[in-house]
Amino acid sequence: MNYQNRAQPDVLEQIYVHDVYNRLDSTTLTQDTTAWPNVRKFLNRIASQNKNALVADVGCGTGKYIKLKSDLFTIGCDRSNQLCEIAREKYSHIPIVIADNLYLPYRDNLFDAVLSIGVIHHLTTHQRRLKAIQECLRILKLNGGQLLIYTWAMEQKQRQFSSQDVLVPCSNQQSRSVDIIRDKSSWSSSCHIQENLLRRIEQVDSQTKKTATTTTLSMLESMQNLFQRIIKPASSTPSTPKLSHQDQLKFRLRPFPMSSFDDEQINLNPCNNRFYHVFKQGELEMLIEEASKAIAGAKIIKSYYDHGNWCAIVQRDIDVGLL
Amino acid sequence: MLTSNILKGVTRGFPLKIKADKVENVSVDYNRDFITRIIPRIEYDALRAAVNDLGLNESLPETMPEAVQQDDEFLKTMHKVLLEYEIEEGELICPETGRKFPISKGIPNMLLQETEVS
Repeated sequence: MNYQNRAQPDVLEQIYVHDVYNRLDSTTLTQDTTAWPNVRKFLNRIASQNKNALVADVGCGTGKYIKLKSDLFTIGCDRSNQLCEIAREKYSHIPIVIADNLYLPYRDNLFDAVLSIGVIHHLTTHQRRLKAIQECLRILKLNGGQLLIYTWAMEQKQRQFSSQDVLVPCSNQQSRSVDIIRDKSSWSSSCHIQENLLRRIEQVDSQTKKTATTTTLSMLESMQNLFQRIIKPASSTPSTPKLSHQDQLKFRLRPFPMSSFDDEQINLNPCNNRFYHVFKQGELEMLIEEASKAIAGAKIIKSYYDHGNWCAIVQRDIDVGLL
Repeated sequence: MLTSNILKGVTRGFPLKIKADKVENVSVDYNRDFITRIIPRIEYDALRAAVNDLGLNESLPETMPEAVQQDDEFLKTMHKVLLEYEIEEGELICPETGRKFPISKGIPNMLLQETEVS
């Protein structure tokens, strides 16, 4: 994997999101076929209001929402070529495109509805999450287009996230997230991973014969920052102050804890973990409002909590925008 | 082919020129209502250009007929062109930059390189 010329958040997402999805075998991926009931309801409403509506599923995965309703024409896009291929094999001739959420290859003001289900929580910075929402809004039609967003919530019934930026094992959906380091040996294994990643980055840099120093150092910093951020301090220390949402991750040294999950096999191997930024209550609304400043006529019409997700429906109405 | 009418390239990059190496014919149920609804959203000139690029034996008039709803023959041709031709292998070429986006196994890859992103 060529990391040269790549921005840091990009590299982090490549390792902890895209490579992981591309590495998962197709049986694991095709197992995820359950459509969220409220997403289905949203689509039903769209179909009843606009017969044969044009819908975009951004981050469509293996396409479970694309063929869900035959009275809608849905085109999917996903960053993972493997997921797109699986979708195309599953549903023959399904309209699907490999694309990046931050640069959607669709014309402006086109779609009756856009879905962003469990996607933007994989983006590592505030700016990128913002841009993703703006892209989804840009492609919505100007007279009543609706965007439905689902993101993983920090507030959960069955588990506790100690930080908003976490790595979650993906072999088992019920696994606990890696937000607590077990002991010194786990930490050294994570250091090991860091070293390996850095060596790879350095290798690429040296191959291009560029002065690798600044790039490597900044990569190193952001890797360290990411690991530091997801490692929780001991329970005796006061709860983590809110981490500000900035592109440059702030570096904070913390002492290591005694684990409260004794039986847990913690594995920081990138092969098993996906990055998530879990959303706090109100955070999604704030993000949408910020995104809406750049997109004419966009307004939140509904926000709610559904099965561990913070959700919102944003409508685009150019008349409203002109008021 | 409907997909190619929706896709755009880097900044304005529309319409994308199509170079098809393998085109498949698919049979799709005719839904008159859908075609009538989708036509206003189609960039008609781009679609005609696409038909030309592919060398399809379909005749689309130079301009869209006034009373589209009543023109059954036109609607059926549009249905065929939009939904029944699948490009399995080929390229989409950006008119702005000449950048080629590959289509493989029927899936266009629209990912950009870091250098193309402003």
